[in-house]
Amino acid sequence: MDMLPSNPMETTEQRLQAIFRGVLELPAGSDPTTAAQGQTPTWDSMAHVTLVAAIEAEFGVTIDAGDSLSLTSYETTRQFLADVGG
Amino acid sequence: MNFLDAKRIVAEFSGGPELRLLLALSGTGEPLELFVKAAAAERGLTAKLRLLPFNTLQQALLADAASGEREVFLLLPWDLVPELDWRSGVPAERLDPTATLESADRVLARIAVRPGAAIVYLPAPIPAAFADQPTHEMVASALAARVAQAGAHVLSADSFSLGTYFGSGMPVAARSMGLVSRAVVERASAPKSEPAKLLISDLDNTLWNGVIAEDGLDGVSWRAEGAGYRHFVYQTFLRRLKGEGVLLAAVSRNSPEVALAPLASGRMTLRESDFVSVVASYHAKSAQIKELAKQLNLGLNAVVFVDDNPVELEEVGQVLPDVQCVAFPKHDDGLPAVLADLNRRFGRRELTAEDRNRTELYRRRLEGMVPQAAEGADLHAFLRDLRMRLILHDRSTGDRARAVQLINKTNQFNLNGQRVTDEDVGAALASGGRLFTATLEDKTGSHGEILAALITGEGRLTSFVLSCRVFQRRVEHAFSAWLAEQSGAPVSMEYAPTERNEPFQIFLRDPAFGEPVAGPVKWDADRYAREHSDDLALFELVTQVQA
Repeated sequence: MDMLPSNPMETTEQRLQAIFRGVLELPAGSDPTTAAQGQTPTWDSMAHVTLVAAIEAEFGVTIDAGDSLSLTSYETTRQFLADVGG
Repeated sequence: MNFLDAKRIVAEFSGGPELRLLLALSGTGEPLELFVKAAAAERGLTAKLRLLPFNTLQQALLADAASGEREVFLLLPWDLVPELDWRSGVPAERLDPTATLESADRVLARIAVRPGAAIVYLPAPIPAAFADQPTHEMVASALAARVAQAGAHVLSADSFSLGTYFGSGMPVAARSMGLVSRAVVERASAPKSEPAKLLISDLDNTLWNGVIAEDGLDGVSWRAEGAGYRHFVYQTFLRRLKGEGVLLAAVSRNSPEVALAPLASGRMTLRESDFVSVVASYHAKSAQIKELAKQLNLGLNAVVFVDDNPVELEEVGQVLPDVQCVAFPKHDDGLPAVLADLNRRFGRRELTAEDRNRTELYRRRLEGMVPQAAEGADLHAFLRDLRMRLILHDRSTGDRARAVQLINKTNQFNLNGQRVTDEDVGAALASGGRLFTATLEDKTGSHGEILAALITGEGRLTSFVLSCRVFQRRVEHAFSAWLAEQSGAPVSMEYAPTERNEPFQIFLRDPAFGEPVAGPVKWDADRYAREHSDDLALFELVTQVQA
């Protein structure tokens, strides 16, 4: 299992990357910022549900069904969080 | 607990006993998996979690439970009434409230027959499917009331998110996943929900306020006023339980006649006849409870033990882990939660004539008190775990007010019941005597200065008292073993039996003492020190005593 950051002062990006690594079970050393639906094999429909729930829980945001479908990559997710202020 | 917290808890958990768990919910449960594992890890358990395939809850209710697996049903209103599922939209025609509640009853009845099944209920808002708002609200409330009656843990409605439910089929709001998972694990790891049958209550500071052996009948209180108020309410609650077939018993570190005095006075809500047994002895409470359950032919998991003293609760909890231990509240504000907790443990919806007469049936079976020769538990392992620290003070000079107070207010562990004045003690010290006290601390905190001993210049122990708050910890033996090793150790003690000092009489049965008759009792200090070194080793000793 990946070593997880524990510092509450971590940036939003560091926490988001930790969630992507944890939920998508990315290999050690891989770059989570390149993860994308269709290209990351572990990113199936159930992982997507877990990813959205984890992001909601971690950042205290609510992601509606419509928004959830638009989160198709690390980059779109990062941008979404930046837009909603998470 | 958020996602990364949960991940960290699971990653750092080194493993523990397995908790095989079916989390049965109709929606998507996978996002909860990590949180449930983390909640189990917080309790030292390794969760082996199984989830149902999406939307198969009703089918699962028709199948048998898997062997060795605890089932927790995380229910939403539409699991009780399928027409209320938001994902199906609002029904075309208004729903009949009676038929709606009958549907809920059928589902709950199927869960009720599953051995050990537990329910966690999330009272999500329901769609506008009824004729008017009052009916809508009545149905929502009645659903929650029905699951609560079925023993469910009812969550807050804001643990539901319609957005999350629409988006993924997961009904739990992401912000509440930790909270919901903790409730699930709490239910899964709790004893199976067979109602308990026997409530064993402590007496002093539980059934009444005060210590009967110290304060006397007029010094303890149980009336609906002042310090007695919460004890009065507790007794009225026990009276109700007894009327519904719960067996009541009491255990107390006292002699039987002392313990029974308030119950026999006829002035309390409860009488001695309300109890199947009142066990009064100086044995460990675990031994008393074990013997009582054996005589009543009840399993220990049917027993709930209520005591105000955390040390007694821990002792019983360690020796008899199947017994459910409940702390009597130290403040009035804690009472409602404790009574609700007890009510849950004893809850039964149907009563029979046998239930109402159960106390009489069992009293006849016992035909009197439990023999006091109940085997005592070996407390050494438990006592070591308390990490006790005994601080010994030489009060031969300086302030001795607490020592004099202790000698004059202690009745049970008291060498002779002799009261002393400060001048008496001063005179003994002026003639070469010594006055020792001891303070006890343990992992639960400090118990204050709890022991006093006065030795004359000729080596006679004339006062020796120990507070009843710290009985059963071997303090008296440890102190005596230490004292026996000191230069000028006592060679005899001025013993006198009193009506209340039975604990001291038991102490005197040690072979290192001479025959315990009134008057000077010889003390073989070397032998005592040799035979009680294990008691001394229970304590970290801090001596603030001049050689």
